[in-house]
Amino acid sequence: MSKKIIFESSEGESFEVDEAVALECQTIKNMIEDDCTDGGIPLANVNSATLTKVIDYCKKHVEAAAAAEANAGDKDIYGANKDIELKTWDEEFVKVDQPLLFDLMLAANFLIIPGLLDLTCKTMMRGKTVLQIREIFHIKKDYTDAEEAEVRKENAWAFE
Amino acid sequence: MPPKVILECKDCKDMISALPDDLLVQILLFLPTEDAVITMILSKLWRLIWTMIPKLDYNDRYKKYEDSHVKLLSSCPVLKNLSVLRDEFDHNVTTFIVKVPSLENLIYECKSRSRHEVACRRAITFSRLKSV
Repeated sequence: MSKKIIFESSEGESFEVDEAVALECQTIKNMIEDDCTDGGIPLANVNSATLTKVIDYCKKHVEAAAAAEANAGDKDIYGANKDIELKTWDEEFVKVDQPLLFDLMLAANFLIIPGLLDLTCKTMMRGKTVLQIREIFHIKKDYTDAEEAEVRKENAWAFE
Repeated sequence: MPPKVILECKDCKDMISALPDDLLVQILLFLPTEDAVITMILSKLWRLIWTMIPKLDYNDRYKKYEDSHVKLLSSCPVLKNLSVLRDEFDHNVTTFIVKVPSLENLIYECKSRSRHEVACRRAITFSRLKSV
């Protein structure tokens, strides 16, 4: 049986995962290598809902990598289909509300999960207008009207 | 860089602007260049974030603004990869680039008007453009 790692969310809830799954997180990998994961790993800045999703992501990617390795011999349509399947899975995975997406990005950044960080960053502002971005993220305009006009004038090409 | 202020109201907190710059750059990196550049209108902080993107695409669609664009690109201190898509071939590409000292890779593509497809494709790699 594979070694288990225990995560503890900010609410104090415990999550037991296979070591292989935990190794997807570079931060945890370093801790495992330094042998300091006994008694669980408290993640004070990751809540249970986010941690559940993060573990789902890592599990899926560990499984996908294992399947790819098992079929490494025949790099045919099967492999390509699997890639598309994983991509589709990723796309579905980030169809969550904005606060959760934000928390996932922070967790991926903190735990160092490059694939999840790219995925969440990619989704964060994609297909949104500046007005929508301002509204969704509550970004306050600190330009005066004159300053804003100047920025628009200087960079007219971008505002066509 | 101006200090980052987090507003107190819980539901309307500007959490994204409080993120580290490298994370904001990472978010913009995945947007089409013009969408990334346009975020400069959000606030004074965001005016600078896009200039830290290491990879941008320049499109001939903006040709009439080229002077302002070259000036703008020159304000990107870490720009490493630039792709230029031209409608017609022109020899100005060197003047376009030397103003971006950190540039390492330039992809210069040129569309032929008559054929409506890539007629000439030149990929030029500079080991270090600084030395030019």
